[in-house]
Amino acid sequence: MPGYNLKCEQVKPLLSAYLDRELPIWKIGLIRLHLRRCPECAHQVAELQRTSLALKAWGEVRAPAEMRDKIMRRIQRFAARSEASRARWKFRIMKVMAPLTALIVTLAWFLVIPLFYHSITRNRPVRSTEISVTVISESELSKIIGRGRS
Amino acid sequence: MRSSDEELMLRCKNGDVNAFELLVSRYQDAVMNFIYHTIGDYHRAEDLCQETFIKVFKNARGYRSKNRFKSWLFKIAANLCRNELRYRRRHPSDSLERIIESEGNADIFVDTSPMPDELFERKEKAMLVKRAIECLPENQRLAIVMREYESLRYDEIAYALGCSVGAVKSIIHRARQNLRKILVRYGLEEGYNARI
Repeated sequence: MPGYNLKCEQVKPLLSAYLDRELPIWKIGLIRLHLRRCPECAHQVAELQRTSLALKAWGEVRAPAEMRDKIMRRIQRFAARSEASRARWKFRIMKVMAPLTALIVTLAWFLVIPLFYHSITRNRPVRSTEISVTVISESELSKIIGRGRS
Repeated sequence: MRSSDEELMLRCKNGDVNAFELLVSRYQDAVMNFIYHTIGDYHRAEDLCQETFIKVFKNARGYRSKNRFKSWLFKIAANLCRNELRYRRRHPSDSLERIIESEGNADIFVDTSPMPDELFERKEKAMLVKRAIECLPENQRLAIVMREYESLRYDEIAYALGCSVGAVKSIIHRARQNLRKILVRYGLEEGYNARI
């Protein structure tokens, strides 16, 4: 099948991935077909495999028994420092923000709100139907009522 | 029921230190093994292994559950190894003492042999393999160690090294070819007509 015959220069760069089974199944199949017909590529695969095995001569190591405890102690210290730092920052922010907030509210109450009120009432157009209210005392009220009766 | 790494890491993000301890227990040997085979120095590997896990905890908020935890962990370890290797290139005299000390370590390997001759031969082979790996360029060293000693998949290696899967295929192939040439020179492997 001409479309399915791979050439050596196509196969050679893929030999490690072929050994590690990191190719699609169809490509592994094509390479296997090629290796059956090509002793040079087959030999190269065998060499790569031997190299891979030779690396196992440098054995595995394990972490020392106390490593986990060392790591967790450092983590605990870090977590405690972070917590303390967060608390310090919160306190600093509160220390600055609380009086600042109080000052802003006070200024708003005594300066800004009256200014707004003054500008609203000054700029309001006068209507002919507007009723003005005058506050009078009780004695004045009885005098007016008395005048009206007489 | 055993929690997955991603579940444990999400609990760590919320400040669960016990979940983090479980992750350390699961991966400390793998990370230690990887770093040791990359930099070739057991004592320095211990320090870097600790640093790896400290960084993992500090950067827990940056962890995205769509990434596999193992790949992310090895990415952090690989970056620390890179920094160490670059430091050694800039300060060769500092690292020489450590290498001499570490080459004297006889009893750090998991497998041991009862026969003295076998043990000697095994240590010799281990030393030659170690030197061969040290001859590799940085990326080849990292990739081949991740593949041969930790059996990471190519997509995991690609994530850890910050490159494509295609690049990993090429890097690992070249690393094996280079190692073969070096091991043949050391006499650990039989030469072929050198038509690699």
